[in-house]
Amino acid sequence: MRAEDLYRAMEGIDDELILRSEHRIETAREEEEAERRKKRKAKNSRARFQRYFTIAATTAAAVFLLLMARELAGVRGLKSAKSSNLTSGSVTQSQDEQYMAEAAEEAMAEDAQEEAMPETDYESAEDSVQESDSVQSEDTGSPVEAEVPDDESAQDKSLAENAGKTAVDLLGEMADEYVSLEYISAEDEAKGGSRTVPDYTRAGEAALSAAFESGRAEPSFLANKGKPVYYVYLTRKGGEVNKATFYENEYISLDSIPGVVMKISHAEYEAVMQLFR
Amino acid sequence: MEDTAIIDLYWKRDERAIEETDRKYGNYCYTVADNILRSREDSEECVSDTWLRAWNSMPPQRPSILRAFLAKITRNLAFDRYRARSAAKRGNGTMEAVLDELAECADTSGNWDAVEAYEAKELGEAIGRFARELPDKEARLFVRRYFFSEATSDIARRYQMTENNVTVSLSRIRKKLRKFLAEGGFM
Repeated sequence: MRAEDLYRAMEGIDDELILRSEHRIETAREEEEAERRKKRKAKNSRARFQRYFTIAATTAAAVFLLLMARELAGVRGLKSAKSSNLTSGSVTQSQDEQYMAEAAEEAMAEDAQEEAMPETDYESAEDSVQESDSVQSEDTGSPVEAEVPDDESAQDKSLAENAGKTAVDLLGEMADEYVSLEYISAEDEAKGGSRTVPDYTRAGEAALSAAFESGRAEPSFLANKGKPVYYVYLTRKGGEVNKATFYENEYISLDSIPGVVMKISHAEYEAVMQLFR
Repeated sequence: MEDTAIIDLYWKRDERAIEETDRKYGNYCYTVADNILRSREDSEECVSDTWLRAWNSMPPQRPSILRAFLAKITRNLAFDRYRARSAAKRGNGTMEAVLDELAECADTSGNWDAVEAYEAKELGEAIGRFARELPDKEARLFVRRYFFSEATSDIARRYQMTENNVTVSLSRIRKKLRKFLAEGGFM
């Protein structure tokens, strides 16, 4: 076999490969172009990631600050709530009284622990109870609460704390005097229906409070909360109204805490929703 | 004009087939011939011979890739012309270099009847198989150098490589070819 024979035998090379070898220059250029495109894409991707990261970090910081503010307001609100009557004289009903009675029983059971509380807290709570009593007696004229004996101050203190804590948990930084609670379904509100005024103002607050306490805060724009289902309106003594919104995917929000919704458990959602259906 | 239309003209024995082929592949076939012959006059004559060979081949043949079909005819004719021209004297051009390189892979013992094997297309098929099994880049280098007889500098420019890189790659390919041919019983 001579080199010439081998050279002639090169005709056995596939036509496709012969063509492909001619197109190599174009392919190389295409590869270069593809490489440039790839680099450009990676650069854009990095820029997009940085942009999203900045947005996410800013949102997280904002949520954190909101939650911190809520916590701080909750502590401050506790003090003011202790000195405030959270029920309206016109709407204080049997369920509220039942709730108060239950709280009093719990307070009695924990009497020994409460006696061990610091002097300043005790005095503060006592003051709050006294103020609360006076407000209630002025607003409602309720003989039950106005005639609480002095020797039951420990029970009153616990009661006031429970009531105040309930309101604080529910309302966060908005702790103030609430004089009424109303609710309405989103559907009825859209139709122009009237709100329901229940006979369990404080119990409703407590249930809402518990729901909020058990919830997990999420940025509103990220949460898959669904459509609003029910609204609960809480009116302050000064006439200012705060609105709690229940969503179909078991989220709750307060209009005074914009941008944040609370994700609560199904059981908690059902429990609190029973009060407002 | 599309290749299929040109082939149809050949099959209809329409002389426009040669005009269309010359218009579309004239320069291409000239380059293929010139890589081997390095002579304008010889290359032009070779291209003319290519059209005649194509006219006589179609029908009965109907090539699937007209471009490669014409390249093979041109290459074959050019090589015949090269051998006739350089029978008395070998020069120092690209073709000589290509043949020298291929001689590394050829059997010098004379035990193998090359003509017979070539006619049986055994060697050609083996070379085709070898080229298919090569990595894509090496396969292209192999084709450019040993089918088209391109200078290493041209190949380097075509594939944006250094000439030294092309030379080294071709050397490795030849080693593979020698081993392949030995294993296939061609040496």
